[in-house]
Amino acid sequence: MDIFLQQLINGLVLGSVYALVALGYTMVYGILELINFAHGEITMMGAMVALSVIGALALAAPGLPGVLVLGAGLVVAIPVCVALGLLIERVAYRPLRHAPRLAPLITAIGVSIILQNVAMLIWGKQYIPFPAILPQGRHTLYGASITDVQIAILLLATAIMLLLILMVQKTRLGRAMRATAQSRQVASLMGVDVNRVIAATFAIGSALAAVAGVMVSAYYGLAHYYMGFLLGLKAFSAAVLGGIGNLGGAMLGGLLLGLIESFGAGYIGDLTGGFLGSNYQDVFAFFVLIAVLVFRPSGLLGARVVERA
Amino acid sequence: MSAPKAAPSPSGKLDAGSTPLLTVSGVSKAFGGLQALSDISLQVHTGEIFGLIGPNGAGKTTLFNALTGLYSINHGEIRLYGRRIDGRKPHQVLHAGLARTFQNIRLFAEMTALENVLVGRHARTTSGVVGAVLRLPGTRREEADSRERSHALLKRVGIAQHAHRLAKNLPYGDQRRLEIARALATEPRLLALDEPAAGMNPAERAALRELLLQLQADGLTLLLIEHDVKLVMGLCTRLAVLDYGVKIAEGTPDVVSRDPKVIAAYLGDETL
Repeated sequence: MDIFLQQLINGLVLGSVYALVALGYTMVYGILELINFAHGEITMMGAMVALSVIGALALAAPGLPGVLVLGAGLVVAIPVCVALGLLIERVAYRPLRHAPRLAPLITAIGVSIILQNVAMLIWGKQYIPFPAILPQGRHTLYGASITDVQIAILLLATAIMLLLILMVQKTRLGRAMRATAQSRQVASLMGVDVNRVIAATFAIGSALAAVAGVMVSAYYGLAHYYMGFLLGLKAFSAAVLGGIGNLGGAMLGGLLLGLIESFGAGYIGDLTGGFLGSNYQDVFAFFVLIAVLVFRPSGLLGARVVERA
Repeated sequence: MSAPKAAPSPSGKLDAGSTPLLTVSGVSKAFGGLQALSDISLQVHTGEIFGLIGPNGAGKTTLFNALTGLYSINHGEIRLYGRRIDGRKPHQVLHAGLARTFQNIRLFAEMTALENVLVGRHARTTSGVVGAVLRLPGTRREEADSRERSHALLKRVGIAQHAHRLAKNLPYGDQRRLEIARALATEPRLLALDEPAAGMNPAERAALRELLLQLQADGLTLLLIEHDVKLVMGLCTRLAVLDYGVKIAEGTPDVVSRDPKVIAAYLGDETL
């Protein structure tokens, strides 16, 4: 059973990263009914910026503890991504707030292409390795192994998601976000500055994306200007799986998608007699996306995907 | 029963009864070729219950939407306490002290009654996420204060027992009361009510009437769109009558109800 447990661990780790990115998609969709396709690229930018900082620090001060270096990377990456998210909202989406829905969607795709190319110009086309600064501890658990990095990802992602739920349920901003998601017009008539709430939503989503980007690059040990594309699509699939617009749905969808991918990749070789290998891992997300769209378009927890008149 | 604390007036002289709270001068609004409001002027004074009546489609709700910043007007100006509020965004108008309810109830259906009222507190509170995450004393105090006031408002409109139910699950009449509580939470100087008695049974209407009179007694000024003529006549200090986007009469209920133009608008020309 060790392979089962191993895939479970891998799936949960991967899934919690997907969940963080999926939350960004779902929060923006919940409020604006906009699929922010540039969100995957924000994640990529977070990884790239953090890696640059980490690489520079690792060179400049080799003695520094890895966790501290990583923290410095995050401290820089988060504000950069937040600023980027705010800028995109202000420049690319807000002017199209009252345009037909297709216009901002296409703009989002345009923004994502721009971000990819900007990243390529800055960091080049090659894979950027994650410096070996992190603790390489590995623990054995009933025949499966879990690394320190995996444990850290799981704990951090869980903590962030709990904080987010608390924020949305219990704070003044969270209430304003929920009110705005239900009716932008009534929220503004009740004194909520809707533009600020929307900006805050982008800021929070982008901060989550920055953290997720750093997690992914630490987990796989590399970053690349194109990494946001597939990651973004998978996280979007996760958001749709859980019910886009629903925070709990994004978390559930992310975890499920991570597990599906992990188990799929782990068992696909056995199931097809070795004909297909674990390099088909990426296919599962899109099988899930298609299946959800065909059989349950509102997602597992979603109820409010109804097109508004 | 404590009144929701009205924001202090910008200067002492405004409390003199002569300065109108709301001044609408020469407001016009057209949708394409349809002139929804033509040159509407009226004044609402502090402490009044001012009624806005007229047949369906006369432009009453359009005027409300113009007042609250939903529609931009084509001509004229709107002042609250002497300050221009036309051309402002809805949340800015609300900050200036004008809150409203809706003809077709528009609560945040998926939030509890208490949360709906707490959203109304948004305009009068300031704390941010950072304070909430760090559990700063100021933020916690503000949140506790908001909750206390919101509970008091629910109690005041008589639906305290529903505080933790989702708004969409409340009985119809209580949803209307919740809208009033939510609007009161914004600490308005002028509360605009769009057909608050619509769909209410006689007992609910009587309770609503009591509530509105209490609010007036506490110093709130009310602007009321209502179809129930009995309610309007008994409640309002003054009325304006709209027909086809034009103000055809203004005055005390007595005067207005005898005005031939008003009778014609309501009953048709042949009765003249």
